[in-house]
Amino acid sequence: MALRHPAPASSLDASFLSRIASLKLHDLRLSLRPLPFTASFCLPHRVPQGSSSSPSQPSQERLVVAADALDLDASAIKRAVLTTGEVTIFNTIESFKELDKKQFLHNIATEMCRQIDSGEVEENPSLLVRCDVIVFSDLKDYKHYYWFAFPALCFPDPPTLSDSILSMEDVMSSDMIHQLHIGYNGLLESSGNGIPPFFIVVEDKDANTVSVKPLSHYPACAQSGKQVLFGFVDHSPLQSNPGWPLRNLLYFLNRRWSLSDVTVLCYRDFSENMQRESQAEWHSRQGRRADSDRVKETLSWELNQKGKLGPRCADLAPFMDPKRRAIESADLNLKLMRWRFLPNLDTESLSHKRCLLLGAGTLGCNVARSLTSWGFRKITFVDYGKVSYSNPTRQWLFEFEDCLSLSRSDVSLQAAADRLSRIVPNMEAEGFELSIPMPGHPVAEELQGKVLADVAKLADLIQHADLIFLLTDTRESRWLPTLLCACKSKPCINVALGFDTFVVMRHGVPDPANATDPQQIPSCNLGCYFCNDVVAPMNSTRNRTLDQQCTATRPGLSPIASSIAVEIAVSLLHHPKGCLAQADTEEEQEGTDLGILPHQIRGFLSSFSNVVVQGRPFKHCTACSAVILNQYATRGNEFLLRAFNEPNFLEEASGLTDMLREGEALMEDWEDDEVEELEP
Amino acid sequence: MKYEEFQSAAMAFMAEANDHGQEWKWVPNHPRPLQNVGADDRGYLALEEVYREPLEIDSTENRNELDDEDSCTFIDPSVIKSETAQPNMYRYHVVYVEAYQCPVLFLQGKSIDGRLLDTEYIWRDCCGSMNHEQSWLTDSCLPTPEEHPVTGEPFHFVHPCRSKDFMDAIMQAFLPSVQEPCTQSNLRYFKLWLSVYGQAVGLRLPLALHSSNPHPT
Ligand SMILES: [Zn+2]
Repeated sequence: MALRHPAPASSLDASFLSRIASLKLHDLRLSLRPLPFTASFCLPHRVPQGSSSSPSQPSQERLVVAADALDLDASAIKRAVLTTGEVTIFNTIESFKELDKKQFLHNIATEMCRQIDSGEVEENPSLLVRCDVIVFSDLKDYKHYYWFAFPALCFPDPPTLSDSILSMEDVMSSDMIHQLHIGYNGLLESSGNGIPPFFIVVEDKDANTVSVKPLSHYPACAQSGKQVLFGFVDHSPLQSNPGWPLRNLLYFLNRRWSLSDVTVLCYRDFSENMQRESQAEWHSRQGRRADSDRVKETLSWELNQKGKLGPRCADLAPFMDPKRRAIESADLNLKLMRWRFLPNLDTESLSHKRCLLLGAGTLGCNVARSLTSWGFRKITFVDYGKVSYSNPTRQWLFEFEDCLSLSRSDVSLQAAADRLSRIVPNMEAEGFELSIPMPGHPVAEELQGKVLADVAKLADLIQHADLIFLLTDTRESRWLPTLLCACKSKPCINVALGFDTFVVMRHGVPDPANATDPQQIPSCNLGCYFCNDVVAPMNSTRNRTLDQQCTATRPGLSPIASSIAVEIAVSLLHHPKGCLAQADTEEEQEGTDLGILPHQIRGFLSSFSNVVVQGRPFKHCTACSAVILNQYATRGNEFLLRAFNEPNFLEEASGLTDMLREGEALMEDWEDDEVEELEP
Repeated sequence: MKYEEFQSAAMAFMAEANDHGQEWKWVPNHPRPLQNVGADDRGYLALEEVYREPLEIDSTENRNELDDEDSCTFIDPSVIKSETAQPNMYRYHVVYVEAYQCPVLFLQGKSIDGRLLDTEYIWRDCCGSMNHEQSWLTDSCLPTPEEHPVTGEPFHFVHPCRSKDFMDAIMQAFLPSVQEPCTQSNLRYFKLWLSVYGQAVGLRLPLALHSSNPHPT
């Protein structure tokens, strides 16, 4: 049968690559000088006796490249067969790629043939067991591309091997086998670092003796007329196929000593120290080979993980890069949470969701913090120029220094974004200075262009966001974002604070189930912040209990409300219906793995209680009602400008004025649905 | 447990396990000049090369644009291509950690080509097979990334925080009827600890080890 062997497999220790990278950086630099290194063969594993189901074992011959592979005179002597060969470290990925791989192997084969012809090989048989590797290290990204070659010298026709595997007991007496072991151990003792892969076994049938000698003794022994067998330390895990080095041995024997018919003793040792007689096996095989005048081809490059001819890639960033290590450990908590409690938690997708935070004050800072710990990594802040970052104790993303640069709000916003990135290296945070136009704040003729540009920018930011948090500190500034989010069916989470009360709510979006006219935007599934009002935002004459116009709030309120807002957002993202999910209550729930998905949570710090409430959409809402959405959809900026400029425009446009005129009777209709009024 | 007690229990355990075909090794601590770690006469217990079948995973994880088949179209007919996926290798080390005053189980998972397995893979591979009654164990034993205290290599470890209470309880339950010498009870503790916590991370001790009793009563 043709000689066939299991594919050798490289097993590369990550620390070897780190060594390579540091050598390249500090010593080699641009030099392409190859460095000699060794790989050591792994002992094959014997299937444990008496085990019914054999545990999985590698079916490849493994070559381990350890951290100290470059130290050829390693202080710790290795009791293993070591390869010879070189590592070549390339400067660019292109040169790595463009290397003529065939020529590369051909050069190695030529060198091996030269070593055979010069007699070097019989002095150092390891030269036949060669393993070479080319490497490109992307030092910036801790990525290493490497490709191993295990050069095999090929005959024009493949060598053959006898079918029968003879156990040594069949060819030698037990006494001779014992001598064989003693001889082999003697050879090991006399060899330095590494075990010689090949040796000869000299048999004197008349004297009934066997001795083990280095390969270089062959010519002398052959001349004396004794029977010479060739020993080979076999690491193949396959029972009937010897390992890959045998092929090069047969080539060598033919080229050097014109031997074409040889008997090979394959020595397999399963014990740790390679010397325990009881665990070793010897097999006798006949190898046959014709002429080897020329090398037909040299093989072979190792296949990669996909079974293709190509390099492998080792990404050490998760272990080496301090940034990546920080990222990994931040993710670890989320992974633990998913593993233990919430198998359906999609933390990966959270990191890709773009969060838009309208307002970068106390609420913005706290929402950003909660988002960060949930694994959100794309955060955009929007705030306007006049925000005073005067309270770093509550706005934890700002520092005292930022308060000094009040005139440059964009600098401060960017500072907050940068600080987030410093907390988590893979955070993508940015800040935009933008003044949100408000109803009841008339736009001067000359400012119209700027205001409309702000509207366009805000619309664009909302369009590209996956999640919007409405965290501004005035009631009027919430109107435009509420309208835009409803128009674009974007999830909008609204947070407002009183002194010791808060409301967190997710706004509704137009619900196709409510559609009556296909040309018109249907009404929303849930209410918005303005749905409970009978006045448009500009007429805020009532005693507001919410919103930070009343700037005195209990310090704990904002972190509590912000955390609840982010928890609602995460639940919303995990709900299959998303924004169209029903408003869960404790009695009636659809929910997600995380629990119920309510519409609103109202919190009362004075009694340490939260209430889950549902607010219906108000058909005359000045921000989210279908009538308003449709007017904006058809009239666009003209509609907005009138809303900004004209008092009472929104009440009239929404039909609120008409309704109020119709009097008390009608009002009762919706008052039943209205949630209870919050009192301070 | 004091270090000396750990070492003698570990040595005794190693001898027993090796008799049953599981080849544990005692590895002396090597000095690490770069990390300023000096030599001492301590060591740790190691079981190397425990093979496990790979999990079925879509291979999209290996993004590698460098596949380059044009320059190397030759395929060696003499090479036996392996039909099955190669197994992964696990290393289990039992290291005495001064800060916890007890032995701690470290493990490292590698694919056959030497790449380190990531945390979630290890969880799924080692801890995913636990049944419901054992899940309390998995909960408290999920391995987390940690540098090997001796070699500095990236390993995972099972945090020992809950092991003391649990082990105290279990040792009480299995209290022998007669007073036993301290060394014996340390070995018993060590075996019990390793079989319980090892099991949570895919380490199986030879069955015979549990029934073997060097001092039958
Ligand atoms: Zn509304």
